[in-house]
Amino acid sequence: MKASLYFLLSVLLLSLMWAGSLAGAPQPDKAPDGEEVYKANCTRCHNTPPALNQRQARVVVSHMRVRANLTASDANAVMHYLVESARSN
Amino acid sequence: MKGDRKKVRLAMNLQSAFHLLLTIFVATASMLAQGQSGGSGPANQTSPNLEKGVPPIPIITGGIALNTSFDPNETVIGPVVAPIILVPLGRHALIESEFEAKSEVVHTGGSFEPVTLEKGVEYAQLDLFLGKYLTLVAGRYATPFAIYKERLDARWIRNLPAEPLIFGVGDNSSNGGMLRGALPLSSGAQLTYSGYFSALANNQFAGSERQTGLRTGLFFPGPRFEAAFSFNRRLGAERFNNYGVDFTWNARSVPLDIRSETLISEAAGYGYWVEAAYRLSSSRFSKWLRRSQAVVRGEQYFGPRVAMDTGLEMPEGDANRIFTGWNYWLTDSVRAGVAYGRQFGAEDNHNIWTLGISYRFVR
Repeated sequence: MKASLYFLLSVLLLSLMWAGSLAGAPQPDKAPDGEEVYKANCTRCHNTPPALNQRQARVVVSHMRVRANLTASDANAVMHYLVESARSN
Repeated sequence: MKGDRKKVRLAMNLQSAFHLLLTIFVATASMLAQGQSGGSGPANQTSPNLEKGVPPIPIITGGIALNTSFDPNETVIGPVVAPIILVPLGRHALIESEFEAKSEVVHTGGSFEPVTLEKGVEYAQLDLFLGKYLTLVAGRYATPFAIYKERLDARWIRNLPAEPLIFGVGDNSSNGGMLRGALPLSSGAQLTYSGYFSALANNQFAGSERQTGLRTGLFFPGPRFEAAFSFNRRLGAERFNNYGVDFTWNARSVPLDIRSETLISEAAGYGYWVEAAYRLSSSRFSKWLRRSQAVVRGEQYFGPRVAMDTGLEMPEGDANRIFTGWNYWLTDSVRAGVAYGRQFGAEDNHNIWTLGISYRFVR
């Protein structure tokens, strides 16, 4: 079991190194793009964003912030994106 | 005997190391949360188009699903109803709860078996948002071991109706407390973490085991890749450790999602599953096909070398399984699916056909 665990941790470490190499150089602080945050986080489980008004979006995004481990900035960006997306549709 | 002592020492060392890691994460997250809570930044920016001061409202959401599975020996019809209620308490707290009721109508040997109905509270928790990067969860919550239970278990989310062979380890809820969140390490990486403790509860609808553990990982928004490590220590009559690793990758250039979990547990066994889902959303497909998704999952399970009464619902012996499925979104909220699976096992070797439909609602 010890060998399996070390092998698994090695695979995990290599995967993180690969993903980290794709992450790119640090960029100046800027507000996260809501659509980009939604596509990076929410589409891991969901498909098209649901049509929510602002009051609904606040609550649903709070729920998803806990479930998907989002930062407050990302959650706020997703909420704005969902509201604007619903308005434009 | 000497080997047993070494194993016990290793388990204790690993347990101490992970508890120390958990403490460090919590302390770091708390300090960062306190340091950032009053500062300016993206979290405090509001869109000029949104009405300020609009209070949130309680919401009922959730899903209803109906799955039917066929194999040579039996047919099972399984309806599931899972309402979720979300009640905000201002802007810094949320009460959320999911109740699940599922039934099985089994037809085998030419007759119907008595219908079973299982009811339970999946979670009933109070979330306190303590700053940008830290959330305190108290109450009953889905145990954060790997990803399937927390993110993929919902019938309207999972790509295939059947749960993975190794899901028995993670298929439970905890009653206690949890600290969780995400810390930005740079513009291209985030550290996600969840640390928890659960007390023993013998309630019929909200029971839980005494256990502790953590899940921590790195998420890279650029390549949309997450890898995480889970540790779980059961503290019941039988004490044992479970280790898990999970990966999620949502490719940018093509609508392809790849997920994987691995389990290492001396008590519960060893196994993994890998699932790939491809959404036919490209414009080169017909309008009808663009609402479709093709899924394939391969999995293996190897039983524990030493039998132990873990109380977990794991396969009875070594098993291999492969599934292929096709999902179709009738609307954004209604999804139908068909899946074919083949299980290869020493004592259980059969085909599995599944039809299902699910509906997700938000009110």
